[in-house]
Amino acid sequence: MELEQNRTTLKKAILALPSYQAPEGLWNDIAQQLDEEASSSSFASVIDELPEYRPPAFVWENINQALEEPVSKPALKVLSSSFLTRAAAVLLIIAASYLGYTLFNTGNEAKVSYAESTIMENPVEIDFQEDEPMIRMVSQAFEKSPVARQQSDYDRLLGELKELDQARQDVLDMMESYGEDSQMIKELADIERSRTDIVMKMARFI
Amino acid sequence: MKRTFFLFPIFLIFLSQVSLSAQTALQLISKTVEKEFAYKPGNELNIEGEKADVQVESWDQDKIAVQIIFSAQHPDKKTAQRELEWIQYQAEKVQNKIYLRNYLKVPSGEEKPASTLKANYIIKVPSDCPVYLKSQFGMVRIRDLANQVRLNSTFTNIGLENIQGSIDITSRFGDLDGKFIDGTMFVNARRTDITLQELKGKYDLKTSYGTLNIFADPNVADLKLTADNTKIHLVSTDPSRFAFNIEAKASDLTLPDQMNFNVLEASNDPSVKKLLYKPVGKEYYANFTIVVTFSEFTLSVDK
Repeated sequence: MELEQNRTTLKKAILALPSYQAPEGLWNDIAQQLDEEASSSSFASVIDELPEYRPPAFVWENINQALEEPVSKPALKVLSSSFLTRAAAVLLIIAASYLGYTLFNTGNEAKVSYAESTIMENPVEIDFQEDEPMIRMVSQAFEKSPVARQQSDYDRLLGELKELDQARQDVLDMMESYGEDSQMIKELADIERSRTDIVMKMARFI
Repeated sequence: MKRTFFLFPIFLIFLSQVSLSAQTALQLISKTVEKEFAYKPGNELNIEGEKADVQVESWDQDKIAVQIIFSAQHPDKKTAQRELEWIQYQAEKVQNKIYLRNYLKVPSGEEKPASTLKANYIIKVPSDCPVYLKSQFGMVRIRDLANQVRLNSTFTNIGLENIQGSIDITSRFGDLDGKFIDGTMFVNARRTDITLQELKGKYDLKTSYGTLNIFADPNVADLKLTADNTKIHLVSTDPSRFAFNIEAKASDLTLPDQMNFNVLEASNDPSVKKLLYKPVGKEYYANFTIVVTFSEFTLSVDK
């Protein structure tokens, strides 16, 4: 930029110029007059009388060509790309956090406490296998008995005993894992009662 | 195999080799886990209990509160303390499902537990929370729910009270007691003793090798019963208000004298009986469809 050589002199001269204030209402009068002219038919007719000019074809071709050329704005592009990347990352983190919270929220932390006491019990000892040899003997004899095979209940009784044998084993397995309690003993007693009924029926046909 | 446990009179009849020992002091160690989950409609509670007593009931808060008490009993305190930690548990929310589960994990190199181990769940849920429960060897008590209850149990004593909506129960070797049930109930039970009373809604029951006692309220809309090897007792203050379609094969039927059942058709199989009854002078009535095989069926009037 070229600097003014007599800057001080010029500044003094400008400050020495007289100042004038426009009369009150002047600007309002001008605005009103312009509005009236714009809305008047004479103003519209003057606009209609203005000449029209059609640009030559090469002007539009040049404009189209210019529009099709890629616009190079490296500084803005870098800034924009960086900003969008960061914004996308933030949004991704927020979305992932929300999704993770929604999908895998495992609830609040569990509170864990311990207690101990002493109880007195009357233990009993039971041999669960005491009657098994007898039951096996009866069921095997029934299975091989020609008389039993003639009975309509033959398959049903064998099937029932097999089911009950498996249930009995399930209870014993659970006792092995978790120890015995009155409910499991009751389950076992119910099963043994049913097994006894079946074995008694089988015994009639051997 | 000789096992030690505590006096329970009923098994004395069946198990002959019993001997009493002197009174023993047992150390009872318990571990209580408490956790809460936020709840919104669409969430579901899934419980998988093993050797567990599970109690579920509703409350008026929009959250699920869980308390699980694990316990170990053994004469030696250190043994009970050590083996208590072998009960593992899961209590977490994944997507819209809250999972509660316990199982036993014996550390490698250790023998099976010498202690008596048990889990006890106490759960409070909003009444519209669907509950799915799988139980093996335990007891289940569910009350005051109004959406969906599904149970799959083995060796489990089930108690339901004041349940509305859809109820689906599969039980093997257990007991089922339900009262104040209103909705659609489906039961598939084997070797299970069932008692149902104070009923409304529709019922589809399949039972094998058990007992079934139904106190049919006038509000029962529909009953379909398929049973084999089951002792059934259906009681109602006025059974003549219901329509009956009974098909019985090799079964004993006991019916009220005042109800005139008609034989639908003669069967080639003399062991099969088909009986029909329709209420007199009524346009609308509930239908009871009953198919029994090798069973005892008794219909009686509750006076």
